[in-house]
Amino acid sequence: MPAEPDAILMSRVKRGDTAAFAELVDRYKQPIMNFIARLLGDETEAEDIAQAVFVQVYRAAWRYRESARFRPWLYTIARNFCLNELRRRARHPAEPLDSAQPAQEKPPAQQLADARATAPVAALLQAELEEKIEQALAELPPNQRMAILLCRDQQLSYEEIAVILGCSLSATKSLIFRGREALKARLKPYLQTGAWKQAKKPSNFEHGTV
Amino acid sequence: MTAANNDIYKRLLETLWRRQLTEAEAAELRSWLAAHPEAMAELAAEEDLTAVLSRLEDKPVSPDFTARVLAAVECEAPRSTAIVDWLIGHVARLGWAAKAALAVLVFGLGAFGVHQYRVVTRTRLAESVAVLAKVDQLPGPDVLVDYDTIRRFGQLPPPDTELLALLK
Repeated sequence: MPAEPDAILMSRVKRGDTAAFAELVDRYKQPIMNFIARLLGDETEAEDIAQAVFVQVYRAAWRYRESARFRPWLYTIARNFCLNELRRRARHPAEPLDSAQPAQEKPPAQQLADARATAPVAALLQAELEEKIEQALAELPPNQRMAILLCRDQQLSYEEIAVILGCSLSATKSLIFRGREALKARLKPYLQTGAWKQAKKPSNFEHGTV
Repeated sequence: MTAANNDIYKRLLETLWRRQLTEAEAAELRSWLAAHPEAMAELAAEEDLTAVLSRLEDKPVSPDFTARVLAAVECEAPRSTAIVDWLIGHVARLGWAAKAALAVLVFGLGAFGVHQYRVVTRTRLAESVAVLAKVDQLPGPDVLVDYDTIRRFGQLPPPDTELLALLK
């Protein structure tokens, strides 16, 4: 049975249909979680914020126009929540807990040895690749990071990404270009080896998800 | 890099960021690269980065995520903003005729309020004028013509009683 279009589900949500709302949440929780977690760099907090985003979607359902696409509207709400969180962090920076307990960490050599002994090479490469990219993404300015993450979602046009970011189309493409230049520079030593090509592709890889 | 400034390369690169090129686009790119071989390295780096970004794994989502969202939605206590949202939501769902009637009603109430304000203001102004009108009953300024002379009476020297006695 083909999935109902988002607009039809939202029209049902506007009439108080929680089953339709649950279907929308199931459909978008993964891409929204990916977006928020990578934008904020904190998976635990990202889940709380992702839930708050969907609660806001339900509250603001009366504002949604069926003629507009749901996906950009949802991402705009997510972006606003993330910006609020980033501003809150800037006003009240928190000390990382890890720095308080260095004695309890395993020595890096022992960790590496354990990993090599148990995980296949492809999985190791994948993990290393993930870590490198996540680090490089986290080092980008928030607006470039946001632009890169939205660009990964192939179901968003450049025009829709510009609307979500609240800037012009040319400014959006400029953000993506600058973000990618920074990523290429940071990942160049790693990309040049070509070893990442041997890494196993994640089983949930598909086009259209952030 | 010069290549990035080239419109054809830029357009095709922006396409490559999102998806695989079509046959026609790939042919166009090959033709462009034949004329600009120096861009090959940059293009390879771009393709590598796109491939690497596409390999990012999904972040873990709790299995009860949707249930918790639904619980949060159902447990929301009514708030003043929620009531306003509800009211605005119902207005938004009205038909055009109903919306027009509501707009006329709101405008009418507003016009009535302005009219009432003007009536009250004029009434207060009239009352103020009535108070000021009583000032007209006071003596006019002409009674003050001899004011200075009368005031000097108090400054005259005491009567000469001896002279008065002689005159009797």
